[in-house]
Amino acid sequence: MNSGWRLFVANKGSVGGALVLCAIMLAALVGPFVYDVLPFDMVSAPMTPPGAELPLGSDYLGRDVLAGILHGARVTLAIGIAATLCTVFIGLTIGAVAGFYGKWVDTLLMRVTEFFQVLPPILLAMVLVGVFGPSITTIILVIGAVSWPSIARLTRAEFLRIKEREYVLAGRAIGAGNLRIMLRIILPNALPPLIVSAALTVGVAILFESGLSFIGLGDPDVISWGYMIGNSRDKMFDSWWAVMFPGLAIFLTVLSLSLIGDGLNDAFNPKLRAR
Amino acid sequence: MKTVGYILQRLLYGAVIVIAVLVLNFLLLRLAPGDIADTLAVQAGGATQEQITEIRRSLGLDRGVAVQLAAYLGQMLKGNMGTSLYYNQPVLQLIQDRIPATLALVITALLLAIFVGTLLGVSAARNPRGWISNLVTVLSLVGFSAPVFWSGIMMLIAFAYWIPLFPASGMYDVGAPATGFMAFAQILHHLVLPAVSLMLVYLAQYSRQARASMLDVLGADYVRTARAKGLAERVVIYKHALKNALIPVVTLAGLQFSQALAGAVLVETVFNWPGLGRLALDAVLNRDFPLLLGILFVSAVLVVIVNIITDFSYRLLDPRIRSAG
Amino acid sequence: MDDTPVPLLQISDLSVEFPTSAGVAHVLDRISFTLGDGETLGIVGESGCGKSMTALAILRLVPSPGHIAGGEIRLRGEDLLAASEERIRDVRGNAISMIFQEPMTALNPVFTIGQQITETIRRHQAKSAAEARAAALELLRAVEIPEPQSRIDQYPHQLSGGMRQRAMIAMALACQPGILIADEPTTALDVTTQAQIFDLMRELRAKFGTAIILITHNMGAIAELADRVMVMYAGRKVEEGSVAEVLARPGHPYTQGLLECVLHVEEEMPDERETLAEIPGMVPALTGIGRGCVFAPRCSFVMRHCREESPSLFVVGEAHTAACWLAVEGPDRPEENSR
Repeated sequence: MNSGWRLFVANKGSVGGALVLCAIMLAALVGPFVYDVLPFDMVSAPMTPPGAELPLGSDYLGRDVLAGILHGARVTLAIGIAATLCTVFIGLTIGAVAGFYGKWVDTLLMRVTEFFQVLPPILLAMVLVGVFGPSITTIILVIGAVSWPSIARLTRAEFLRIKEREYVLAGRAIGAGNLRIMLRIILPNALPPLIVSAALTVGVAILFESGLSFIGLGDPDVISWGYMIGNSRDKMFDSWWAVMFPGLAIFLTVLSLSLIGDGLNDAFNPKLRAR
Repeated sequence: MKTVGYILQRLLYGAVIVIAVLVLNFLLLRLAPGDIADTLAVQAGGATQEQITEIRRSLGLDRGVAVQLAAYLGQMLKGNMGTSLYYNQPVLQLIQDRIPATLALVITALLLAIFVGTLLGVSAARNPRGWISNLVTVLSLVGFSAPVFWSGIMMLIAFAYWIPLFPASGMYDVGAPATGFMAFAQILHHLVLPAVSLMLVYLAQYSRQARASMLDVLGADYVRTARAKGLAERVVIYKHALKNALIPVVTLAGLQFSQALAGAVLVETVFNWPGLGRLALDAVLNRDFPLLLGILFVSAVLVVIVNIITDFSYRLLDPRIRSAG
Repeated sequence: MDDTPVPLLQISDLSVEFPTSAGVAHVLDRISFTLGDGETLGIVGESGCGKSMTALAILRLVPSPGHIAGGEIRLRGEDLLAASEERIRDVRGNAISMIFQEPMTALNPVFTIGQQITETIRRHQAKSAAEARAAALELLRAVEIPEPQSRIDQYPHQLSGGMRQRAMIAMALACQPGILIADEPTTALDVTTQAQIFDLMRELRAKFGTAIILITHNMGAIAELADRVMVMYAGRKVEEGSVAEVLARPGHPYTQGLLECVLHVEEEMPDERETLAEIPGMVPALTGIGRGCVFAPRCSFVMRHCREESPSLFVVGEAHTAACWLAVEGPDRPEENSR
């Protein structure tokens, strides 16, 4: 693992990304305590530009943008991670079963996967949120239900590849059952590309959640970055800071996650590094 | 002969998917909160119990689930997607009116992304350390990480407000000619910002993919052979290398259309572009499920069609696939 | 006596360098040789000795970051290194053609072999599409591909390895080049097909009068096809002469080693070895060659002089040269040999 770590560190982009992400997570955890303003409170005149009193200005209702960003960070990160866990759980299970058992199980599951990939993700999410209502739990589950296909394909490819390796046969030879083989033998070896994919999936989940909040399908009781942008959309020309900064926050978070993903990729696959 | 068989197989397969979407729609319709008959009654301003029962009967809600499903499938496939609860018009009509706008947006954005992305990727591959290659790397990171609605808004602020080059919303100017070249030009003018916002996301992916596959191909033996035959460099790159490098790019394009439709929803919202995306958003906010599900269905059909088309382009490009059947 | 005619191809002191992280690698070090009309010259040596690079250098196809660092390449007196890009492209595929080792990857998988052959023809000759196609068909017949009318519209993956190589030969001969460079043309083929390809090359050579540079590590191929042979080691020429001469009386210990590697087991070995002959040691890194003979570290006949000074090419027979001190000095007495 040492050489992998060194490769990761050598990639300036991923180190930068990791630092930025740490800063964001720190802001999310500690920010609201340090900067003691509530995001929904109207603390100043509407549409005040950034300045000494309000570092990032206020929106059309006079709410503090910086407070929104700090509080929204928690929500965004929490939803991003939770949704990714959901996605990975579904995708991994389906992909593993398909790759391991093969034949008709594989064909069936792959057809299901393709079916889910045909439906435009946001549309399906909109429908599901419309049916089940916009709460945080729903959003997490909906994102998971819509994003699992790519993880499933990746897992399946890895399982298909590893299934034929000798150490799997060795496992069978000592009488290990299917489940044990899948979990203890194949899965640990399939992890590297999955971890890379998971890092990117968090980014995708964050983008997804902000998209849903932007169009007004997020949880209305909770402030998130997408929600802030969607709210101030009508007044965007007169209070551009209210839309720019939350968007910048999303951008930086997802960017750092992609850079970390790239770095992890390099760390796991030094041979495939194309320069 | 193999091709005919393949066409039939793909069409059949597409049909299966479409039916599966309909079944899903049906399930969701039943899960939707509120009884349709009740909703209709409320919209009509109240109804007696008898009237409600009558509505139920006319909607077929009093029969068994399987029968309802069959009826639903039959209706949808005939094109009768029901009536919008909010607009009180046939869903199909509403969708038909809006499809061209969405298609114009999505197809323009994707074609631009593929075209520009391929050019950038090819240049970047020829000079792996040059500025274009660095641009491609930066672009691919930015394109992926920036939310499409945010970049849309940023573009709006920059090019419709600070430097007012483009209109801020809609597809037409008020009081503009409805037909003729001026009408077309004016639509194009409105199309620029939304199409570019949508394009950026995909431009990132295509240029990166084109660069990677072009780099692969440029190192291939047959490129050396082409040079050894005395062919001009331009022929070597754009005929021999590119045709091979495009194969993964086309594959990528096939997977993108579904995502692009999703992106269109957001872009249409930002720019008030009168397409399916806006319609879907209105439908969800108005809890207008027949309309919403109709849009989902039509989108799925569009994606299936586009997938079949890209499948064929892929086969056209790569003769090895044709032989494999 | 008239002036000696200008030779078809004359290479003088050709050098190719590759910058590497360990220093500059001298992939080719002052190579000189001549090729006459209709002659077949074999270039033989281990992998990495620079024989392929010689071929690529002649057509100015040295892959970057490598580059030609010096010397001359003259085609009928014309300086190819000074020629413009335009001119060298006219030469490629036309006056000088090249075929490569692995026909599956050397042919473009997304074009038919007919398209690839007619493309060469139309690049260099003013023929219509129909004329070019007819010419391509003739070429396919000449290389003895069965059913050429259907094969011409097939893709490389639909042909067998031997047929693909024939197609490549057809493509290379499309414009009747004076010189055909064949870089390991049969290495990727099975033995039977190899023999067939050699037969084919002999016939075509007789028919078209093409001069051939045959690059291979296979001494047997040299014996079959070549008139003269040049032995290369670590980027240098170490021996040159007629095939008969060199095979019978090798003038360089390396050549001798190569021959011993292929000699039949039945022949009597000088000291009745029963193991496979091999040349001990490895080819040196091309960045750090010192001042002695480049083969000295592996030579069984090495002398003190060999380590101190690099031998130039000495005459060891009729039109036969070798770069070895043994040619002029005779072996040291056994006590003076050092390893």
